[in-house]
Amino acid sequence: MKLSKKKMTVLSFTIGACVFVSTAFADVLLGSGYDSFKSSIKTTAAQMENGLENYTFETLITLKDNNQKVFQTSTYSMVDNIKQAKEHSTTSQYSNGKTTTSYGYNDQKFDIWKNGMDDKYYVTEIPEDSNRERGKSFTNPFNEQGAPEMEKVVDALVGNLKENVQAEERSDGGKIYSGTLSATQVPALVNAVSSFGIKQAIRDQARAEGDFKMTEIESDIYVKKVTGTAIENKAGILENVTGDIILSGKDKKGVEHDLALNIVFKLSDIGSTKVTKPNLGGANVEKVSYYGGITSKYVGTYKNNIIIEKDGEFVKIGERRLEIVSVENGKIAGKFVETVKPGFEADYPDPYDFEFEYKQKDYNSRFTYINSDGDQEQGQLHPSNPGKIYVDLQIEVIDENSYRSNSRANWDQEFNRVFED
Amino acid sequence: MVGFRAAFLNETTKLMKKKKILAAAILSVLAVVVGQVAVTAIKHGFGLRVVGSTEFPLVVLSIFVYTILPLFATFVAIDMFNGEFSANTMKITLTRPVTRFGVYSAKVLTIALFIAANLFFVMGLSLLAGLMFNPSSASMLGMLRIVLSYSSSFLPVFVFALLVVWLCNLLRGGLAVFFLSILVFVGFTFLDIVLSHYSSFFITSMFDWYTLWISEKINAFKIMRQLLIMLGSGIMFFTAGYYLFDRKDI
Amino acid sequence: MEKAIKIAGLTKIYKNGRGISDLNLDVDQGDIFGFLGPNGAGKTTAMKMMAGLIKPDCGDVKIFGASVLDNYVVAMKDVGCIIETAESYPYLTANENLKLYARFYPGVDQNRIDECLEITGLIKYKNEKSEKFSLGMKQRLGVAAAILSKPKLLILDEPLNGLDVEGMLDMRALIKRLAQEDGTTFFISSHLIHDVELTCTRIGVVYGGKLVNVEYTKNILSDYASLENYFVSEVDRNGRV
Repeated sequence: MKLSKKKMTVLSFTIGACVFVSTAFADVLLGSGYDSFKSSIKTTAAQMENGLENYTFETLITLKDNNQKVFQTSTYSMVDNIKQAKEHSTTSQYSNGKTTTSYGYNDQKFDIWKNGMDDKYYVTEIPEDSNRERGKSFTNPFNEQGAPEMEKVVDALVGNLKENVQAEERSDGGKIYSGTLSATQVPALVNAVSSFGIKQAIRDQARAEGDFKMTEIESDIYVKKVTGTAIENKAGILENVTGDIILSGKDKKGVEHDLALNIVFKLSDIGSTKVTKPNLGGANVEKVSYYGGITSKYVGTYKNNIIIEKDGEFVKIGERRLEIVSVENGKIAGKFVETVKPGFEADYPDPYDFEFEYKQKDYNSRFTYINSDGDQEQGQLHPSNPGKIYVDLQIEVIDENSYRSNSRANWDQEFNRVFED
Repeated sequence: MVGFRAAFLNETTKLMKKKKILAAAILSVLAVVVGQVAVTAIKHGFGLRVVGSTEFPLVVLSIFVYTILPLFATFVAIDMFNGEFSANTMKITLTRPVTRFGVYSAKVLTIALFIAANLFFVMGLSLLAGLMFNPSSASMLGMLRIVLSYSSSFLPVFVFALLVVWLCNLLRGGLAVFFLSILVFVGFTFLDIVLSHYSSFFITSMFDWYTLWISEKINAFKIMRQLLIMLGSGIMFFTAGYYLFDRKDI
Repeated sequence: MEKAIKIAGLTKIYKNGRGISDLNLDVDQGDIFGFLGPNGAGKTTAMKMMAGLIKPDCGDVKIFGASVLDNYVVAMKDVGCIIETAESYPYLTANENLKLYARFYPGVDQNRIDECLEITGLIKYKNEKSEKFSLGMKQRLGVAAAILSKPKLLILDEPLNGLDVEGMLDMRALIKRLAQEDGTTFFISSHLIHDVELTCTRIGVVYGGKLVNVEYTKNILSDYASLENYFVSEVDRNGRV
């Protein structure tokens, strides 16, 4: 009796422990459809950033209000990671029938841009010695700062909803993921936040774009259904991801609206996409300076006044004069002189008088000059409204990305072009 | 068997006489009321229908199952073991013609009854509130889902309570057990986030397993696995707790 | 006739070295057995093992032939006890407390509960919560609980604790009455020699964790002037050894 009680205790504990540990391990090993879907997304994102030589990527977003198309936008991108070239075109359609398009192309040498408003290509040639690092065609969001933490939080929020993602093997070695959430299953918090977010987004969109017209839903807003499917190829890359969210709500008159947002991502032509620079022969082309900096049209003289306040009045005590002598191949040469009227030397000591020359490499290129004390300082020129230049002097470089200009008293950085008429 | 029956009836009688029961009931009512007020406020303030009538009980459950329920289950367990040990009243029951296993399982069964009753009580309350305030969206299927959700929520909370019972018999002080239980709860929840891949090992990660029961496509295999995990750990904690309880010198 | 209590080789030594070792003792049915010894001699330890509250290191206790270790339910079926202190649930009334205990014994009804309350003089406090009771009243409630099931054996640890003079007299009278009328066997521990002398028919002396001697009261009193003299001589003898 006694022995059997002890035996029973040990036996029961052992059985419990075995069942617990083995099932828990099995559960961990099996993972969930959600987990493998997540890892497919990660693989795909990583491959799109780096790994796939080239591919075509399509996005289609459609918004329907009670089955009537309100808005649709599609983006067609072709990416070549080897040549670091990308071509993309976007078409948006509104319920009033209006369509806008935009087109873009960029590679290591050119940025080409065309929007739907004017039939004109804006072309920027990127100088060889540009400091600019060429942006990647696609940035993996999972490598962003804070992404792993975000992922954990999302995982925790998703909790057992993970099980709503079903994974099915396909005969060709790929997988199909699918999932559906009905109103009851969408967690209340997620429901509230997303309903509110979508409602605001629609309102903002309607304000920002005049063509974006739809009834505003006011009350009883909730997420009615969320569905999604994704197709993974045998290389573990998601080729097609579709998501649908149906939001239900009532407008001012109490009429019920089902807003259906459909999002489709398609990845295709992996390895066979060719990105070619468009032939702009005969097209309307405007060249845009790469730096948006000082070009040859800026050659000339610019002036402003040295003004102080004395005895309650503004008094002009002199003049500053900036002369851009030449701009050639991004190389800028010029002069800067300050002249103070006699009698006011005490009010404006140490006026500048220097010549400078530098090469524009990027937007933040600086020149070096010698001030009246014989010390070296740094300055910068920025183009402003037509015929105006902003001048910053006494620039103190803090680090690679930040600097400070210690302008002296009564400094005015805006210089106006002097026109001889 | 007579002994077990008597012990069980006594435990429930004692529990009913405790102020804690009243506190649990009041807090449960309060939770439902606050939930309903919040839902109504959001509805009128932002125009969002966070919940329909059949979803309201589920919203309440999703909060209740992580807060009041495990908290009070812990209180009850501590009261039944550490409370009686320290008040020296444990020997009143232990000198009766009933085995220690009988006393132990009577206590555990009472905790189970408490959890089930509390769930049932809150389900009734929230259903009532849901039907009263959001009557537009009631459905038979919805009701079924609610009953299913509340019923299935019993198991994970009960297994957690078994863990607490084990702690009760491991440590002498009720306060120590209480803080350790809180620590385990918070720790498990935290680990569940950090090591989400291994969440199957943490019982708190199964507090929301009722979502599996009401999902569009019921994943029976997954439910089976979680059921086995909970049964396994439940048996483990129950036995470990009994082992300690049986060896206790009063 | 079967022994009411049969203790064989019962040993329990605590970490501090105290406890009781190799206790061998038989108590016949109908005995009023006095378990006499100074504080800390191991009386309560022995009684706790008899009631199954602590597990012995070795040895066994049989009550009416049933082992406390292996067959607890049968062993305790006809036993009522107060161990160390008489406890009750403070948040329940005297009546509610007794009703809880009654559930364990078939045949104990409200009449019997009232009867026990009457016997112990608690009937007028029937519906008062026991948290308001004095030590003596709690002791009386403990006695009421112990006799509730009309047990054939009563194990009482210091039953006179906290009782006033009247209470002590009542208690003694009750013990005598139950022994005579129902043939109840008693196992009573006490450090009050005089009290034991007046109540018990047989006496065992424990000292330093050992049972020193067992003898019938009448035999002791024929050899010694009083129980006190016997006790002192027994303790002295063992102290020298």
